[in-house]
Amino acid sequence: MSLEHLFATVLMANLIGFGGLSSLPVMRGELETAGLQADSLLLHSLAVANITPGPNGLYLVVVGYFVADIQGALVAILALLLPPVLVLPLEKARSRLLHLKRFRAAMFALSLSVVALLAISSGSLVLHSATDTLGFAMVCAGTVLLLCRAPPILGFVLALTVGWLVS
Amino acid sequence: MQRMSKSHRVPLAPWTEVFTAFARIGLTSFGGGSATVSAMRQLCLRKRWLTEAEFISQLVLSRLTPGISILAQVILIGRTVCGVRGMAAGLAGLMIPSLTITIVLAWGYELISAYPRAQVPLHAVAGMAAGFAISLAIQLFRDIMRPVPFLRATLIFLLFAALGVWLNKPLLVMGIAIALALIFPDVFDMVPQPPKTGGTNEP
Repeated sequence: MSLEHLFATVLMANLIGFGGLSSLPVMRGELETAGLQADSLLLHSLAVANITPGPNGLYLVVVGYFVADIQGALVAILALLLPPVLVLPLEKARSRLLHLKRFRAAMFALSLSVVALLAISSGSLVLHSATDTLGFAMVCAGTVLLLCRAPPILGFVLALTVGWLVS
Repeated sequence: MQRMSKSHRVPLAPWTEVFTAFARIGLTSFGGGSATVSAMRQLCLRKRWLTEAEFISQLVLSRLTPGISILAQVILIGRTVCGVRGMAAGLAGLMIPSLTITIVLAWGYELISAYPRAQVPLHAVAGMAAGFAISLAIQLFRDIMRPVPFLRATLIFLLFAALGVWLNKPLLVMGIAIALALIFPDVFDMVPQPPKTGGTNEP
């Protein structure tokens, strides 16, 4: 995957997603199209991003790093920083847009479709990682821990410890 | 826009203070978006940069913005405090520590993954990450469904999920979602409008 392609992919995933992991479905689709092992790449990127401070969307920087080293990370950072600037024109148009029924409907439909696609992508990640008892147990533990609002670093340490003991 | 216009003439704080404050958040806000938003709220209220209503107004607007919504909100907060310099200082403050840690950890992860003995622990970590992704999808689903008619929204959700599985093209599914909403706005416009908060857009 070239740096230009990586930039375009991260930018597109960000322009359509609305924070968090909502860019995941588009990112996964584009990585697969580029012939990369999308699920494995995303799983390891998410693992790193979960133990770093800041927004969850920084997993895209890790994807950039794994795809094209430090240059890839820098390209991903640039692509991450551009879409939020749209908040400035959006602020000016906000009061007019929010009164438009079609705008509100389109925003809601887009959000709902992103969550539906995220559910599918997450399911695919689970299928990729829960290939044995250890993987399945960790998927269950990760789901429960985060739903109980436990710090992600706790899950990371738990997984490393259990994995080390099992090996 | 009274406060924002005023902020362009008389900064509420120097850009260095904005940078330092956001750098502290960037270094310490483990736990994803909600932890960062919570830290930003405390910062804005403690330093009296924004009122609660203004913060919520900016939060709503940043959620509507493409990309990482926290970055959009940092842009708005920074601009309120000291204009363009505040925007740049806020973004740099939040991102530089987070990104440095992220890249260093990615480098370490890649290094460790080369060792055969690390394969099982990293497999466990990948499983945990998949669980986190499922959990975030559940939380997002819960948040989006809370204010809307559950049955209608769930049926639409299932339709989009089926389309996603069938077509396997996320961009196409999102395009279909927007097209459907533009054709049938009454079906999709179901989020109740928030009361006016007297935030930054009020005359």
